[in-house]
Amino acid sequence: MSVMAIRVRQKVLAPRARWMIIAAVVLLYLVPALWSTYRLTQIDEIVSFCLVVIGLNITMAVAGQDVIGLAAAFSFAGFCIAVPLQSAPHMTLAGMCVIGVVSAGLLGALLALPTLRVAGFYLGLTTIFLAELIPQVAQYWSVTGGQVGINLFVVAGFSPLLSGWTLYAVLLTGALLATFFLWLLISSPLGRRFAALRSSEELTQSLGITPYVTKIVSVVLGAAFCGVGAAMYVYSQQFFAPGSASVTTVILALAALVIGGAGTVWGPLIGSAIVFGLNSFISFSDYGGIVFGLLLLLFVMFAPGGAKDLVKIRGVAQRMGAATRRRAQPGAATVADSGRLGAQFRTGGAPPARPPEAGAVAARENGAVGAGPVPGGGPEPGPDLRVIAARKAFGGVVAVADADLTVSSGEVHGLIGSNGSGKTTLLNLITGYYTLDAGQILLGATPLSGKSPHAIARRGVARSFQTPKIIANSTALDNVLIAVEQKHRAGDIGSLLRVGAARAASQANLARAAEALARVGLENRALDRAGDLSHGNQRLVEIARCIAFEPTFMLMDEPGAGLSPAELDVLKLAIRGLASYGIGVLLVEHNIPMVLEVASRITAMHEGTVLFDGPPDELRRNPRIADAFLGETLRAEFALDEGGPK
Amino acid sequence: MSLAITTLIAGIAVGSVYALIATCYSIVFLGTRVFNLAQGDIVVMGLVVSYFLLDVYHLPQIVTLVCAVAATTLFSVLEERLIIRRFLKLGSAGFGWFIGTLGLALVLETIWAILMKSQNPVPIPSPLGSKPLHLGSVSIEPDFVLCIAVTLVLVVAVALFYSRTYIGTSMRATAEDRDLAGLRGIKPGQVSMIAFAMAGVISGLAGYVLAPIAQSDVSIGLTYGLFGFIGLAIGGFGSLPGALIGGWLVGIGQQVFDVYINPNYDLLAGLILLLVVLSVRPTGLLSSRSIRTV
Repeated sequence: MSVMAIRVRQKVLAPRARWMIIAAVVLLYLVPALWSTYRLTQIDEIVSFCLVVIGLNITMAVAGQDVIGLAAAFSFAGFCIAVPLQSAPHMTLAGMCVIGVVSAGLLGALLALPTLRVAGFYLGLTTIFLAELIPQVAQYWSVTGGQVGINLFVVAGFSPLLSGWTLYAVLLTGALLATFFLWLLISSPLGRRFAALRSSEELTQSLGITPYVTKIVSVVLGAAFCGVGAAMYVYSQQFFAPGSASVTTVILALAALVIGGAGTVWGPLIGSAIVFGLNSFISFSDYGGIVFGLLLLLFVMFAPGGAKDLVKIRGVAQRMGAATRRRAQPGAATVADSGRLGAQFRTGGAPPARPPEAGAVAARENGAVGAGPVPGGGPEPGPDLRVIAARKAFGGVVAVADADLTVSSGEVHGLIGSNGSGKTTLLNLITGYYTLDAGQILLGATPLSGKSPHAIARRGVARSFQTPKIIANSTALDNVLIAVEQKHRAGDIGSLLRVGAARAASQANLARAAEALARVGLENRALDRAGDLSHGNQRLVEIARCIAFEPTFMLMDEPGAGLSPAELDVLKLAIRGLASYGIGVLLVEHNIPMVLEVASRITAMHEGTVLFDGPPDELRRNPRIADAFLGETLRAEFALDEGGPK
Repeated sequence: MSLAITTLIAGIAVGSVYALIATCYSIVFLGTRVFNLAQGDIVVMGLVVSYFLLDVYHLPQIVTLVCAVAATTLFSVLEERLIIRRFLKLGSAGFGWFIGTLGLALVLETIWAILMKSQNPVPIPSPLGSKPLHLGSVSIEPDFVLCIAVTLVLVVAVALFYSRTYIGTSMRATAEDRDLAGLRGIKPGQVSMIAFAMAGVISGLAGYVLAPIAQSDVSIGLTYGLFGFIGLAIGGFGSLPGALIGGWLVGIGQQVFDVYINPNYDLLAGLILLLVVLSVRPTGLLSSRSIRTV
């Protein structure tokens, strides 16, 4: 779909959606009119827990980390706020928020640092453990007030400035600001790094992003929101006790997240209202655990998208469901964002009237593909990438045995060989996904061996994967944008809040991303959800992402697999274009005719060793190699045009 | 001195239950890549069955044992069929199973609390009687001996299953890839079913031997489950001897902490122990290779 079409759709939809949101927000502020003051305190409690659900949404749904017990940060921060409050009763709500954010954030870091070194679910279990232990420890500890907890009514001098409707309005504003932050986050560089992390750790590394650090940032950020929730709770409920939060709270928060819609902007608000509303307005006596446990279980099993899935199941108001989905999808927020800036990359005038499938091919015919300078001007021709006597064994199987390989900048170097000959292993060794048993890998004079994949990527070695690794739920443009942002950093906080120099920088980045997409002929699909693209187009998105990363070397793992002949032509042009701007391309490929056509040098591997290394013509003339790698038919075919590549 | 030895033996006995839970986690994870958070409450099911059959209906011990194991095994198989298989179908990328099994744990814990609410918290009789064994000046509860013996037998049996039987070796070989199991003539569904059934049998036995020790406290499911996880993490994920050693270490540490320091803070001590071990040796004591992320 073209940018224009997106805009048209927005013009039709936007005013209605905007009025719906404004009406809903006004109604939210008027909620207290429905009940007495006693209920108001309960509603304040629901708003406090909403912040916990927003935090959970960031860490679990946006960044994909299984921190299911994150709500433990709420109990921890609650006591951290309530205990000093006894001796400093004049503390403001803002002061309490600061303590909450700092204490919860520190706790998040303390738990995440050791557990994330092992596996995601270790952190999940550790946080549940914490949710179980905080109330148990607190009820025996005199500092936290024992079983009764800390009651602020009885503290001399504690007289909150805000109360009643004003307090509710302030808390609700806080929750709405947090929701707005969530919306900004999803379409910010940090949000895109989170999306990459959720989609695949290998992808994150290939873009030079450190997964471990990004995970910890997501946990600390989520915990910080729980800290704000704790401050709101202490301020409005005026007590904090072991019973304030427990494992049941963890489950209620998860249920709110799932039912509201995990990963969506409005989900936490809606889910909290439903789940915590039910919990405080209806008495389930002893059966609450069964009701909410089953509710959670049934939703994750049969409606993992939340309440809107139920609408779909019943077939009731399908149009309403579609509208909600469009607004709610993380990708949709980005579409709105890119739509506004979209005009920037439509420099070539109106798109040709062609079916969208022909996008890539159309661009090739227009001469867009492979033309123009590499984004950012292109790196100077630099040092070679050298593999010296590399060796790697898996158990008793030697996958790579003393292989040598040199890729120079500006050349296309083909790497061929049958399945299991060690091509992909060699590629994984160069990019740091495997560690060498022996040998050396050098970029110029700098050893790459022993470095982590993200460190190697940061030195300018980009790679694509055998199975394309794309962020399915983001747009094609966002998939490329994330690579641009690793080269041209715009400042996380500035770009998130859309202020200052970062605003201009992110506009420039958007243009760079669009340009990279245009180089593979996909500018017409820029705002499509990447998961909806055809397999071939997904590969091209991955290549555009590598281009946008502005590498000095680009390692492609079977980029031609599954491409149509037209798409293969686009690929060939793109590869040649890259080489002509000084990038060294290592092409691992089974499509021998294509390798013979584009490569200026070819290395052939067999059972882990290098059998041949030289120009394509020499390979054709070498009968032993030709037999092994070209086969009878191809040999005959190439014997006809002995003159060399077309 | 005799207090120290009694503490040590009590620690090994409680630790044995953690070791059994850790073994269940490993078996289920190996077969399905799922970490069953309801495991602790399935062990408590064995305890609840023991309480009702022995204290309320006064049935013989052997009948109780059979019923406890049958109940937990049936429940585990049903859990696999009705819940886990759904998540396996949805793909391992989501965190559905993680949340789902936590929800199930809460449901079970609530049911056990409701069932026991109107019951007298009387002790559950031990199959070996209540007369302590005397070794010199040290007296040992027979329940502890039973608990340790059953655990040793079960861990050895599981180890033999994985190393000596065709299905066992196939399950181990194909743990990384469910579809690979098909190449050895085993349906992926069969693998997860067997894993859950094994965990069910072990949980039932664990609940039965735990009953005289834990008395009729049924709120311990999640706590035991979490201590089992700490044992697993300390011993080394995926290693059977690791689960045993880790479980015992946690049990002994907990009993020593309770007797000599302060029983109110043993959960906190457990968490600190876990964080320290993971900081120093992330893969645990007995596992040298790092586990694959889920």
